[in-house]
Amino acid sequence: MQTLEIDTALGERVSTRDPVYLDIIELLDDEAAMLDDERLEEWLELMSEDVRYWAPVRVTLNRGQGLGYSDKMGHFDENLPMLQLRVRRLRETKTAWSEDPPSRTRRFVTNVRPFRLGDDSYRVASNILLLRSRGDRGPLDILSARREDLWRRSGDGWKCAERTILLDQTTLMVQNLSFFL
Amino acid sequence: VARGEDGEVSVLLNVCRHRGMEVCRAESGNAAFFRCPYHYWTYGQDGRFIGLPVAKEQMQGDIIPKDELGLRRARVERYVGMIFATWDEQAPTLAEYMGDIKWYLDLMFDRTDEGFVVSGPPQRFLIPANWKCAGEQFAGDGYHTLGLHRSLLELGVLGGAVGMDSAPGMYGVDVSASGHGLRCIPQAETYQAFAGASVDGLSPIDKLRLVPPPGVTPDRVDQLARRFTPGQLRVLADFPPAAGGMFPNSGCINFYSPMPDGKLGVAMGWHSFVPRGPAGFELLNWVFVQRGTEADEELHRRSTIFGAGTTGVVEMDDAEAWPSMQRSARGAIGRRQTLKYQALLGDKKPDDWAGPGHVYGGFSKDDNQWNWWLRWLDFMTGKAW
Repeated sequence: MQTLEIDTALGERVSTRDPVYLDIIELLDDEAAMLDDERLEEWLELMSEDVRYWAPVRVTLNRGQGLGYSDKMGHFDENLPMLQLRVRRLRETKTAWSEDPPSRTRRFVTNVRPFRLGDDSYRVASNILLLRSRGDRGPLDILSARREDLWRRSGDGWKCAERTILLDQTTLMVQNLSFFL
Repeated sequence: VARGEDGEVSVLLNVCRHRGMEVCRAESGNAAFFRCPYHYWTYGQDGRFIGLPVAKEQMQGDIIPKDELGLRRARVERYVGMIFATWDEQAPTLAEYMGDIKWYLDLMFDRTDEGFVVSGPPQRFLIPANWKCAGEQFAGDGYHTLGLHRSLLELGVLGGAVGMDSAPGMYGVDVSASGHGLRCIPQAETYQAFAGASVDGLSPIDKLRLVPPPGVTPDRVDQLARRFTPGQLRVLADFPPAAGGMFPNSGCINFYSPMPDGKLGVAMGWHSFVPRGPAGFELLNWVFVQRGTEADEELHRRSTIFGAGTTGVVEMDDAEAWPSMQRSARGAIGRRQTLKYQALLGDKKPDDWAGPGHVYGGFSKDDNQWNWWLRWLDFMTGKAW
């Protein structure tokens, strides 16, 4: 099986004492709030025109055979128009049943490690723990993942050019992913 | 599932004959043999018993001979590259089991000499509902698109304008055979949209030249004429099978899927609904890409999972309905309420329809799903196969 190669440390680590580190923490915290509060139009503004947003599927492999992420198949594999259509479905119709009533998501983004690739271009690794509550049912859905992002900063502010969501599970214990990670 | 050095595919029960630990604990990889970690009982790629350590102590005992201590093997057959297995030695052959539905499934998945490739490992996720919810829906519920997938009708992603009295995509031909079922969707609007022209008077193969089936490149259309009967070509040209399921627990799709960026994608793949207890099933979603269109593999993969599976804008709403049905079935009163399969059309074969099976032309009604349940009842009451 072809598996995805993941570069863990591209570029120069941005120190926690570097003001850019705090800018990136602020960015990811604000982004998390946008998604939990379902301010999705604002969130789309953070995505670049050429964004690739994807979450490869994972298989269990024996030790030494790699992490098991597919270099092809994903749960998500999106460009900007696809992300925009998902948001339009929630906004412009009253029939997006998987999110009506809406899920209540609560996400925790930690272990943020930015790496400087060039001027105003950063690879940012982070961990995400996402909890979802629907209706009056328990227990909560739990998803944990590592995210590998590519963020660029320009006059328009920060734009995400790439997000790879590396989910820990091979079989997701959720009925769908009707939200963003 | 293991392919031996001789190329032969074996489907083995992943349970050691000794104490029952799983002998293979990775989903993918290469191995010369399967060795149980617990006590090192070792089996060949085809499951035969090879041996165990400290052979002189004969820890396999002398009650069952060595050549009967292999891993349990399933009966295996192939169809268009897919591997089907059964534990039942009394089961008929795969071709007999598929019966009349094969005539149509060939039109979906056996179109070209080169066949298709599977585009990476499947999505896997757990839906808190009984597997039959998905099984019976894929057998032929065209009607649910009207309600459950209404958001996509409203957005214009599926069909055209929608009102309470119109229902694009719900008219067509449902086909049912031995519990298997699928839906054939009229192509007149597709030709109008893609070719901008009326196709009246064109022969089936000329229509297929104008707009080849999803994933079939223009230079392969001649293969269709060679591979299929004239009756099959008429169905493929005018009412291609687009979605369905093989009884009991699979689903399949194959249709064009226009994407939000203006590209024309293909949604092609296979689902398995694997029971995980009475109130849960694992959905496995494989994406197929027709060989010869590898340049578009990424597009076809993306367009398939945009609609189907974990994040599919179509199927994420199915995953809202099935668990809800499951919760209703747990209610003290809710469980006593019967479900309604009362809109039975009865066989209604369109003129010139060459295909076998029960054929229901018109609005997609309950016949296919009811037949699915009757087939299930046969198995539950011992009238298997």
